[in-house]
Amino acid sequence: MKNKSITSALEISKQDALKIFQLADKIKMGKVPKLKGKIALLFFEPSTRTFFSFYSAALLTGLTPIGFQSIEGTSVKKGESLIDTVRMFLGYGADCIVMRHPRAGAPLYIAERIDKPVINAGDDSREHPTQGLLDVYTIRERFGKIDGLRIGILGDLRYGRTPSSLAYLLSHWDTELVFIAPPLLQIDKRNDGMEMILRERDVKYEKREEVRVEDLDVLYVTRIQRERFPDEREYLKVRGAYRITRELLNRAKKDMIVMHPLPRVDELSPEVDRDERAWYFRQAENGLYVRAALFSLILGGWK
Amino acid sequence: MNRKEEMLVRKIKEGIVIDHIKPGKGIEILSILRNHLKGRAVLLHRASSRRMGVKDMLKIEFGLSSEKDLELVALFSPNATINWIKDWEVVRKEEAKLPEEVRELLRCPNPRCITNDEREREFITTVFRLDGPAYVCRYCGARISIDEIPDYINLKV
Repeated sequence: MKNKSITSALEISKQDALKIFQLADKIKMGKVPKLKGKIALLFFEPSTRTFFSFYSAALLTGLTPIGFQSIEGTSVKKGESLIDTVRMFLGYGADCIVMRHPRAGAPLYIAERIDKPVINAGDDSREHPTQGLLDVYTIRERFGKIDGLRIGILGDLRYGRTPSSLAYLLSHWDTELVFIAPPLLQIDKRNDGMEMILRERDVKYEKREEVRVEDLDVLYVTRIQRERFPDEREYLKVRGAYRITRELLNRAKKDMIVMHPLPRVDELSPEVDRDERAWYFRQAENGLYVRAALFSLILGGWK
Repeated sequence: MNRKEEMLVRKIKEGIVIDHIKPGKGIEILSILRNHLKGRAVLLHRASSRRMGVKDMLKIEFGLSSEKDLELVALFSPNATINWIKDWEVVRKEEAKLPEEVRELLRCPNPRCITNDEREREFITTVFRLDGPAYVCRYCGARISIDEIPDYINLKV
């Protein structure tokens, strides 16, 4: 994977994903590769978790992180173009660009124009491939396998950038996906052809409006955003119906896990935190190991 | 074309005739080909047609210096035919076919696509790939179905 850009989960082969997971396992056990170089973290859209997860992964592996966490106080505010901003960081010696951008396809556009690897840390509502990697890694950690699992992905599947990357990665395994969302936020409403891609990849999936969880091994919850609804009453109805509570978990399998890319607002009740099926904080922590593994493979040439 | 129209626009001895163009689309096709015209060109707008009722027709004397953009004809008029003429005779005839890839000419329907960013637009070229019944944006995956193409053609006539 040396010098490979990761702009979409569709570019990550099963073999690459397994390599990343195996290395992440080692890093989690304390065997951390020592790397040299600079990582530019360019976050054109605010982020806490993803930014500091990449930042910590850089420090852990001995890389020097440079960049910005939001565009406040940068020349982007003065109207500097994206490519000029990136060139400047390459001039400062960046060996890899990690970027989040409010425009779909921005990381691919930059990857086409520079000769250093680019990692997509989220582009609009299209994709978030490293989140998908840490999600699948967490599922594998919990079950010791991925084949044969029934995985529910719930919430805003239309504008969310995590459901697409997660589903694309899972397409390498023999899983059944259940997309749980109100019709307005279902995957067929997306503008990036996700459903077509799943069909091309022969993914087994169903779409479900009703929140039922008893058949699932994994419940992956995402946030439903108020601003996506034209009508406030409609939003409140959906918000109520798609809230995950302990009561709902009583009807779920005993060994199911609940995941969430975080941040959560109120779709995931804090009372769920006490349930041993709550795996979202472990999931977030795994971001550190998976991203450190990714840096090692892309920059260190680890095999 | 009936005899009276033939008097209005005479036959060409050598060149390319694009026939059966959807009425109104001839001027757009002429505009994308105009930089490669080897000779004179004449556009016949609203000619009568047995097959279509009315049609546009474009006659290009001596043909084109580059025929690359001929593959764009189908985007404007899917049922157009392209005829190559030599010594007054049609020597080759092809149905216009949708190109596998379209650069620059199409605008992405997704307002959140990087190719629609006001600042980046001048640095980036749109690229669409034909996938079954739709063109797919290389950058954001947005799709333009074949019947929607006219809405997304970005033409500076």
